[in-house]
Amino acid sequence: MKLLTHNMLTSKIIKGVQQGYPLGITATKVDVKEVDFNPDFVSRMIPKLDWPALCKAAEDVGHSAELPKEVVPEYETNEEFLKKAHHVLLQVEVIEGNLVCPESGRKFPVNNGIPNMLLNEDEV
Amino acid sequence: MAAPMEHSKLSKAERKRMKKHTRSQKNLWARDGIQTSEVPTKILCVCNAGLDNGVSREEVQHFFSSHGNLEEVIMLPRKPYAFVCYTDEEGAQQAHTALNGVEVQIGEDHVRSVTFHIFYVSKAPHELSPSLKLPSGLIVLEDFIDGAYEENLLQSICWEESSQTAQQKTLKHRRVKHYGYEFKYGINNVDPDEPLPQGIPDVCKELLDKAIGTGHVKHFPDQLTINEYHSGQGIPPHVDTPSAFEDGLMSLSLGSQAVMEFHHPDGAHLSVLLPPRSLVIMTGESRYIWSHAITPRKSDIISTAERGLTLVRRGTRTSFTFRKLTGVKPEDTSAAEKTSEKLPETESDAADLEKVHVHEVYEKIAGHFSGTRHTPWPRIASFLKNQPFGSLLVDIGCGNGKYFGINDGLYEIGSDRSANLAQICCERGFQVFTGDVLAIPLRSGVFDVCMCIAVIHHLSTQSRRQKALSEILRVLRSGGKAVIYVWAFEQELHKIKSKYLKEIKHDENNDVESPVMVHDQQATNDQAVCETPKFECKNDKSAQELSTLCDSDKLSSVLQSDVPDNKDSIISKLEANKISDNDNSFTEPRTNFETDDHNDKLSIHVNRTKFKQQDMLVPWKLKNNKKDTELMKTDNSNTTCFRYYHMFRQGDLEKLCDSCSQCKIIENYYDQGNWAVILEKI
Repeated sequence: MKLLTHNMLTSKIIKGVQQGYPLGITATKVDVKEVDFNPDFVSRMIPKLDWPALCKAAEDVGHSAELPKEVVPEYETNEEFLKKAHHVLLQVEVIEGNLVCPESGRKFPVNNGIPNMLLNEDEV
Repeated sequence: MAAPMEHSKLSKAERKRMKKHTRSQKNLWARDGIQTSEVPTKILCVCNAGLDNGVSREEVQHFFSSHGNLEEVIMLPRKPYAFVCYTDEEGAQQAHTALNGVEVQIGEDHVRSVTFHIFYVSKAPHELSPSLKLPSGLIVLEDFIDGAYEENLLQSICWEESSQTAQQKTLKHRRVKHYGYEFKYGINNVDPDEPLPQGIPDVCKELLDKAIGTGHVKHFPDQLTINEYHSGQGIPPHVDTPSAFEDGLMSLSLGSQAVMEFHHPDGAHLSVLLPPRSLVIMTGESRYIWSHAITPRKSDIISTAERGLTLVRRGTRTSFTFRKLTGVKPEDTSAAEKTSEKLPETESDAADLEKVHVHEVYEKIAGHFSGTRHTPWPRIASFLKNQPFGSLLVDIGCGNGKYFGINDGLYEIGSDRSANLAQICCERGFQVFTGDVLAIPLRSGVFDVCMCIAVIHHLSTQSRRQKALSEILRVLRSGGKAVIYVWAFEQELHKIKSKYLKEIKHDENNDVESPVMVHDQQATNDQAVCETPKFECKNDKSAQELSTLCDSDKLSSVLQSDVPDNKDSIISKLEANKISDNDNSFTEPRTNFETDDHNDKLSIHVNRTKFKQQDMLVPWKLKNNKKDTELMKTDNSNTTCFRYYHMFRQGDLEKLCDSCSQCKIIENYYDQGNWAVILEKI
C-alpha cells in the first residue's frame, strides 16, 4: 500500500465513527520501491490529497524527514518539492502492519501490502 | 311488399351466418396458420367444436361418426375447434353438407347450443403438422440406420414380462429399460456412483460411432434409456436434467414415427417429425432451453410432397435415447438448491446469501476466475483511455485488476471483496484493498472516476443495489464519472446473441461476466430461432443506442422484456394442461428440476443459455487449477460452485440510477449481454 492510497482510506464506514480519518499506521514492514518520477503526475495529485494526513502517515512509517509540513506555493514548478512528495506518495509502501481507526482504535490488518478494510456484520 | 321483406329478413340471417363463417375462416389462418380449402379434403376443421367451447371429443365423435368412416378426432387444448378426419373425402364431404352451419345442442344436459362452421383443411395447424424449422441446435438425421439394423436393435431388447427392476420399469404411460445407469424418475437424475451391471449393448456401437462421426456430439454416451410407446402414448414436456447429462442428447426412433413437440419458454412452438430409423440430436438451446414432449395421440397429421396432407397412424415406437453423464452427483445440485434456495426477505438473509453464493465462491474460484480474465472490454478500455491525465480512479470489484494500466496517466486503486482476488491484483503490482461496495472505506468526494464492473448484480435486494450506487457516488467528486456494468437478463437482442451465448470454447474475450463453459455448444446455434416476439423498447435512449447497435429501427428478441420471471413454470403449467386435455391421465413426473413451480426459489442457470429468471444461481465449474485444488483439499468442497446473480432487465439500471438524485446518466448502452451506464455526479 502506497501512502497515496492510504491518504484516500477512511474508517468512517464503521458504525458510530464520525471522521475515521486519518488512519494511523503501525507498520512492521515498509518497503521503498523505485518509481519513475513524473512531476506533472505528482502535481496533479497534490490538490486531491489531505496533506496533514500524508505528513502523519509519513511520520508513522518513518519517512517524514524531508517532507514539508505544508504544500508550498507554486508547487507545480517546484521540482524539489514534487520529488519529495513523489517519494512519500508513490515509493514508500506499507507491506505488513495495521491501519488504526483514530476514533475507535479498530485495527485493519495490512498483509502482503493489502489492507483488509472489510468490517464484521456488527460493525456496519 | 310482403315478399321482399321476407327475403331481406332471410338474407340478413344468412348474411350473419356467412359473416361468422368467413370470420372463423380468417381466424383459423391468422391465428393458427390453418389453411382451408374449397375443394373437399379428408380432414375437417370444425369451429365451435373445440375444447375451448366446452365440447368433448365424445360429443364430436357422436355428431360426426354417422356421416362417414371416421378415422380420428383431434382436440387441441384451448382451441375453439376440433379436427375430424375421415378415411376418404366422401365422408368428409357428407359431414360438411350435413353439419356446416348447423346449430347443435351440447353439454351434459344438451343445455347449450353452438353452431358448427366447418372447413376442409388443406394446411394443418403448426401445432399438428411438423414444421420445417427446427429449434436451434436440433439435428434430425433421417434414415440414420437401415431396416435390417432397426430390426436387429429391436430384437436385442429383452423385455422381461412384468419385471420391475432398476433396469426395467413399466411407467404409467410407457415401458422403459436402462443401460449404463438408471435414470431415477423420482429424483429425475442418475447417480454416477451406481452404474448398472449392463452398459450400453454392443449392438449400439456401430450407430454410436456413426453418430460421433457426424461431429454433432462430442461425448461418447454411457447411458441408454429405451422407451416403448404404444399408439396413443406419449411423454410430457421436459428438459433432460441439465446438470446430469452433457450437451448432445441422441434419440433413435424405431418402428414408428412420432411428432416431437418443442416449446420455447417464450411461447414458441415447433413440431418436429421423427420418422422411423431417424436419429435426433439435441444440442445447445434445443437441449437446454426448449422442452420436448410427445403428445399422446394415435396418429399424426403429416404433409408430404406426394400425397399432401395425410393422417399417419402411430404404431409402436421404440426410442433409444443415448446420454453422457456429466458426473455431477444429484446431491451436489440439490445441495446447492438447499443452501439458499429462496430470494432473501431480510437484510440478514441477503447478507447470508451473498456470503455463501458470492463472497465464498469468488474466494474459492479466484485463481481459476482470474485465469479466464485477460482482455479488457473495448468500450471500457476506451472510456479509461479518455480520462484526463492525473485522474484518481477507484475500481470497486477490480478482480485481478485487468482494467489497470490501460491508461498510465491515472492513479488507480482497486477494491475487491475477495482477498484471493485482491492478492492476485496486488501481485500484478496494482494498489488494492479488500473492501465491500456497501461500505467503501474511501474519503467522500475525492475520486475523479469510479468503475464498478459486474458487481452490483451480485447484490440480492434492490435496497442493497441502491446502497452500492450511493456509495459509488459518495466517493466521487462533483463532476466525477462512474462506469457501471451489470449482467443483462436479455442475452439476445435483435437476434444478435451475446458473446456469452455464442461462446464456443474460449472465454478469454468474454470478460465482463463469463463463467467457464460447462457444456460445449455447437455452432449450429446460429440458426434462426423461430417466432420471436417483438421486443418492446421502453427506454428511448436505449432504443436509440440499440438501434445503432443493431442497425435497424425494429428490435426483436427471443426474450420479451416484460415476461413474468417464472414464465417457464407458467409454460410448464400450460403444457400440463395440454396433456391432460388430450389424455385423461397423464401425470408422470416432469424431468426438469428447473421448471419447479416456486416463485421465489432461486433456480440454477444452465451456462451458455438464456436466463430464465432474474435471480439465479450460476454454476462455476472449477478446473483443476493447482491453487484451486489446494483450496478444495482444505474445505473438501464440490467442484461446481454457484454464484448468485440478479440479472438486470432493460431499463432496470437506468431506474436504479434515477432513484439516486446525485447523478445524471451520460450514456447508457447494451454491451455484449451487459447493461451499462456512464454517470456523472451532480
